[in-house]
Amino acid sequence: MSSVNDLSSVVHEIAQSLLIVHAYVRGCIERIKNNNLNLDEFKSLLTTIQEQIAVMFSKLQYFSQLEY
Amino acid sequence: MVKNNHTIFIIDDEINVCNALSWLFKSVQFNVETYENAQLFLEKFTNEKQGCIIMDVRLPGMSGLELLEQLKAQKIHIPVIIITGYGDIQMAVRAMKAGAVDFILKPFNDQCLLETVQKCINKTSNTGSIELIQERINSLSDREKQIINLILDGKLNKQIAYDLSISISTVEAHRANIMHKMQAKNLAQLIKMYLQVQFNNEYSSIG
Repeated sequence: MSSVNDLSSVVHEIAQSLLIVHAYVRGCIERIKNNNLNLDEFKSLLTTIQEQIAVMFSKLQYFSQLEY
Repeated sequence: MVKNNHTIFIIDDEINVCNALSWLFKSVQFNVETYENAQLFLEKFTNEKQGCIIMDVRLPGMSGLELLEQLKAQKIHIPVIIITGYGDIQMAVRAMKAGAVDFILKPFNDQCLLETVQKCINKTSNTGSIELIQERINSLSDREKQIINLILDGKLNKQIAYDLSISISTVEAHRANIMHKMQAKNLAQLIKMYLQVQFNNEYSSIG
């Protein structure tokens, strides 16, 4: 049962990171359409997106080690 | 330039989520306010502001359900959209019964969120008339209605199969039929349609 809970927790955290990446990317697309994207803000966002991708990778690695 | 005077109130204890959603909504020219808990939101909110709330149902301190109750008690009529994890169907159902106007399951598509927010602000619905949805429900078999109720209880296919002493593949076949008969694009839409009719029937039976 603890493996099921672990799996739920991993799924939740990956979903959270995906939500964050999605929102930032869509926001960038909208701002590019309106010629309203500040380069410094964009660089900072890319760093945040990179961090979230790293979180997802680490969760997937953890997931691959779970025993059922 | 701000598009309109509507404000999106984002309540989530995860700061990265608040920042990301704030970025998204500001990019389509909404005003945005973010709060890390429900209590802070209630302290700051004034009834003059129009818009909608996007809230994680699981919050520290005052829960999302408790906030919904407070909004009702204080007669604050602002639409609330709940964000919930995929395994949290039961919580989403409870939130709808407590007054949330819509819910979105994580992970969600940004277009879906934007459309849901716009729909709430415009106070329109795309789930069809009550009569039409009731007709679709009437077309379901008894077994299919049993399965919908188990889905609303948050049960997985494996659990439904065990409860009904049928195979998982039979459950999956029933679910596919249900989605087809109800003309639901996804699970969230199915649940919303079903609850819409339930609430309507409850109100009609009073008095």
